[in-house]
Amino acid sequence: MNQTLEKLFILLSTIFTVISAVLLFLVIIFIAKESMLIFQEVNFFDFICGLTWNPLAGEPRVGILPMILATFYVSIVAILISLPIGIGCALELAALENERLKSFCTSILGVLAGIPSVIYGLIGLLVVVKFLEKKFMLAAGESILSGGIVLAVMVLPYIVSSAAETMEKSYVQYKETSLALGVSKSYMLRALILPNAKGAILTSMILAFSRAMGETMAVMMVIGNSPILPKLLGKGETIPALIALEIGTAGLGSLHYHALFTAGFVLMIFLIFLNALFYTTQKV
Amino acid sequence: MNVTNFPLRCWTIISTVLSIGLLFFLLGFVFLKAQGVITLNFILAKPAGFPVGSAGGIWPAIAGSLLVTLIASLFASILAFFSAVYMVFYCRDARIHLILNLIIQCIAGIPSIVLGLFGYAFLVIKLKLGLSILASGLTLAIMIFPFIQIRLQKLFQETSKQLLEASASLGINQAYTIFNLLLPMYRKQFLSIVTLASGFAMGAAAPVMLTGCMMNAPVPKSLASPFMSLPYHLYVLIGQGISLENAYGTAFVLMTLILFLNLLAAIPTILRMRGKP
Amino acid sequence: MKDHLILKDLSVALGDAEILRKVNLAISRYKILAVIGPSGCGKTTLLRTINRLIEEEKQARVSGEILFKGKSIHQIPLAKLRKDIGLVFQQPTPFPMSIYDNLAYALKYHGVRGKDNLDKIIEAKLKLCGLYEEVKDHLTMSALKLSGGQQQRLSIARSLCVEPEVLLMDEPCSSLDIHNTKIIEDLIVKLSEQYTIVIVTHNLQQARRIADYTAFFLEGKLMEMNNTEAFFANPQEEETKQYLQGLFG
Repeated sequence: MNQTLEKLFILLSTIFTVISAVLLFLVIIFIAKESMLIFQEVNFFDFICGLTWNPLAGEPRVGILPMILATFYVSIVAILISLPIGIGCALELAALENERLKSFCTSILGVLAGIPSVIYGLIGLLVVVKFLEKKFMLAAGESILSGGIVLAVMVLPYIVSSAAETMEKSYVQYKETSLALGVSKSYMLRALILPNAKGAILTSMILAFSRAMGETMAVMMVIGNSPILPKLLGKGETIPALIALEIGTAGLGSLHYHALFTAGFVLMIFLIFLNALFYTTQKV
Repeated sequence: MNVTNFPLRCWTIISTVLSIGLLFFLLGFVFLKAQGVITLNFILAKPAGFPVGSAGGIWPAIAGSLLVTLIASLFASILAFFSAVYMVFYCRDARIHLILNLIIQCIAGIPSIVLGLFGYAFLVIKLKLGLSILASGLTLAIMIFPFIQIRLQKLFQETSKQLLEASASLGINQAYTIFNLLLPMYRKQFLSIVTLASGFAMGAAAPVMLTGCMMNAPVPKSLASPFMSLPYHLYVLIGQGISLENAYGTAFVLMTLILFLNLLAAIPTILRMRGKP
Repeated sequence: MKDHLILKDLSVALGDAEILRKVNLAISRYKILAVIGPSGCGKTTLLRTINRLIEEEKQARVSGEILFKGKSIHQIPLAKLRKDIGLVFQQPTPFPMSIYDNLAYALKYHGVRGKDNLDKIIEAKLKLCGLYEEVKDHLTMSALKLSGGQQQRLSIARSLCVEPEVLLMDEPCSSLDIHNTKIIEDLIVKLSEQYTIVIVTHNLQQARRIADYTAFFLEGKLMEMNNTEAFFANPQEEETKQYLQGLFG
């Protein structure tokens, strides 16, 4: 009886593990399969570097360079805004002695990470976009900048929690030695903890960057969505937004349909690569 | 106080206040704006008006979101539980262990919109599930599976070796140890991980809008029915300029549900903290 | 078969490190064998090899033979072997559940059914370990709330529940105070009426007080083994003399 259960259990856990491993390849292969068809009509270089996206024209053009650039652009803006705040917050949390306050702050960050992206989008549209319109006298505040700001808010909890974890460890480890030398806590943070956390900061950047690039809804709601070369205060369209907006109207099996899958494939391969990088830097 | 430390402290404290204050700003904003929209009728009625959603309520979206989240959490936690068990207790080969970890990390890296594409091409079209709550639930399950698996594996790995050896020394096999010692021991943490993950599933719009979510649908009667979801409904109300008021109301309901899930997930931590200063 | 447990040319290596080298020894039924020696001499590994826990380690290599009642331990199903040869750890290992459930845990696994049967065995083992009077009104209390000494006696009672023949104990008193050590030592002597006991200890006085035989290990080798009185009164090997005089370890 016990032995049968054990065997059943081993069998089940092996099967489910195989399923979960196969899932990754299933996703990659399926997206790839739907993507490859497009290269019968367009060559790879024209697809990646093409500047015009007009798959429904009489002579369809499917270049996704503007979308690739916009995706990078908003993500970089997001990291630039989010990183200083995130690292500052992580430092403060790492050195916080009050356990209750610390656990309160950590839970708040957890809740922030769990807020749905449509809600960030809604508030971004009504606060950030409106603010930019007033501030810069723009006709429309939907822009790369507003996308970057909204994304910065969204990735903030990821940066803080991933950086704070490492900083806290080194803080605990060196606290007494450092205090024994008579230096202040702030000095220790600046001269020891911060330089020591370089690797963790890089890791948290990679994680945040991959989150930002893969984000769909919030960005789509505030960025304006036109497939043109992105400028900081101009509209743009990211790859996820492109897919989300157009897949519903793309006819099954059409050039348009395959082009959208290919765009998704390019994004996915890049993000899988980033995540593998995240995993390896985290391990070292 | 050392003068050169002043800017550093300013920076860290302002950053912290900003980060923490953010949540209260978000909550305050949504809750204030939703005042007056939230009525019993709004919660319990079907969407109405023309265009649809400009009047009436959001009950089918609430029900749809809850159901699709349930389906996703169920599939994801079964998959995550067994693969975490395999990796911690049965996988003896360090290389296989490393590769499996890498694979799960990679699944975590797939953007949700691409999972939506996969769900559409594979589940909806190839497996002929159609645009349905089942297809959406499975797509969401793939999305939250790595989240649960990684945390569960960490939990199992941190079990004291001595406890496992004490059990083995009584002549007891792994399956019995896992079910009768580890599961009761980790029940609360397990539930809290799954609850947190289900919050992510509930808030996701991108995967469901490609796989079965509709602008207007009744409460799903079977796994094959299309459905409405709160985040997608919210997006449509805003994106197509149908009704800002109702969008606030929908955001309020969605936020409340997510906060509730977060609170539920935090219970073990709160209980643990209670004894400490 | 007079000897309950026989080790023949037993060697154990973990990766490149040789832990035990060609150990030969025999233990008779209902006797207490104390294993002494400096830290890292392989005492704990010896116990873990006997109930095959060592084989859970990825790099472990075991050669030689261990005979339990004349039969190689590899011919006995693992679950049966570990049921027959119990192991008590250095640190008490209460499971995070009630006192009652701690004891019922293995009983249920090995097929004891019915609350009456369970109650009877549990009460008997708690009494044997002198814990019954202290906990009889709190059987549903979490075992983690017991004191260290009580937890260790609970761990022993839990091992006894599955009716082992041999009890291996790995420094069971090292985390306890003098009072609790005394209680456990008395318990061990009492248990030797029904069980064969191998106890690892680095407390020489403890070995002297309770053991019938004492074995001295150094760097993985069995240096000397004799009945306890003769062992302490008249050690044969130079290393043993030095160790007993406190020269190393």
